[in-house]
Amino acid sequence: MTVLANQLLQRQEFIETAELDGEWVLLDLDSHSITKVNEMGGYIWELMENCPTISQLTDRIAAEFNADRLQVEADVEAFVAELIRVGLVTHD
Amino acid sequence: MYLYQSVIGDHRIRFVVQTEHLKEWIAARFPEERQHDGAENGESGPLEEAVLTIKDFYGSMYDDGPVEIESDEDSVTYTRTDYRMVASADYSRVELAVFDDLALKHALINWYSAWLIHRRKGLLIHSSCVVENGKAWLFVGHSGAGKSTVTELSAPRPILSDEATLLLLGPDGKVTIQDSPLRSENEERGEVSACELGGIHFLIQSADVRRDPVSKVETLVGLMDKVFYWKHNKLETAKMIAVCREVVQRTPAYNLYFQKNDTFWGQIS
Repeated sequence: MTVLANQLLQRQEFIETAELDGEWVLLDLDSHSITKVNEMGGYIWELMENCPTISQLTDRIAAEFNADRLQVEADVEAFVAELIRVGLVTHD
Repeated sequence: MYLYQSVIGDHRIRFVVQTEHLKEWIAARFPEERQHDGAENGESGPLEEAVLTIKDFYGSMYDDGPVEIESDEDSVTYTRTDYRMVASADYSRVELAVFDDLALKHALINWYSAWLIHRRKGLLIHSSCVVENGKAWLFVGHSGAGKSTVTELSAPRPILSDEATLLLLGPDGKVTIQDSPLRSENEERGEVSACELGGIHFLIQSADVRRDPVSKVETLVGLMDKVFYWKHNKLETAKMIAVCREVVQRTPAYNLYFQKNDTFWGQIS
């Protein structure tokens, strides 16, 4: 269990998303910054609205894809950490 | 005051201008409304209309400074050393005062794109556009990439724009390029008034000549970067993105590697 695992994640307001041919872009209407993510990244972004912690995201994705929970958790955490780094997600 | 009415695509622009010089400048670029353009727009109802009141003798020469934008509930004000433009919140009523022709062109590009984006009807893109085989082909690239070179190399093909491409979204989602009234060279109007968009080309100067498909997401990012849009309001920004997305979904896009000669047309069907 990591520091971030149970912290409440909050997606930044005013992010427009666009999905085109399986790729996603997250567009920050404030800063005009553009972040490209793959299909899984776009899926996690969507999920975060109702599953706002890494634990919940991991449970959901591990169940859905029948995947190893530890591996999923490591991947989700790395992705969320990146979203936090670029300012698309905040945590308390 | 002089009056001049222009109809482009599904909309009418009424110009109310202070001087004969301004009227001549507008009339040389914007197609005058013909009688049969009428009040109706085929099956899609009356024409959308904007009224621009333009005055001369404002400010001083452009000093490379930015456009300042202030907005409140009722209006949006754009200010530069060489012009001041106050638009109603829906951009359909505009009071513009300019220093010279350069200021007038910049302000009109600025307003026109904002008005189209506000209604999600289209936008202006920093690009050139040429007609070949009944389709309009858009060329975008950074400064010096070859947008105007492409138009110079494309004679005798009709040129729809060399600086600011005027793109309209039809009610059926069709993407149409109108002959641009706002050009940098060859300012006389072109012989083709509108043409469906066939594809977008991102220009890359190269020793070989080829074109490679570009993904939708890359196209969206590349296109948004070239839209004439001065950010001031999140809702308008979201609309600009929505229009770009519509265009990208319906239009193939390519990286076009080209030499400075006309052989690149062999790559474009």
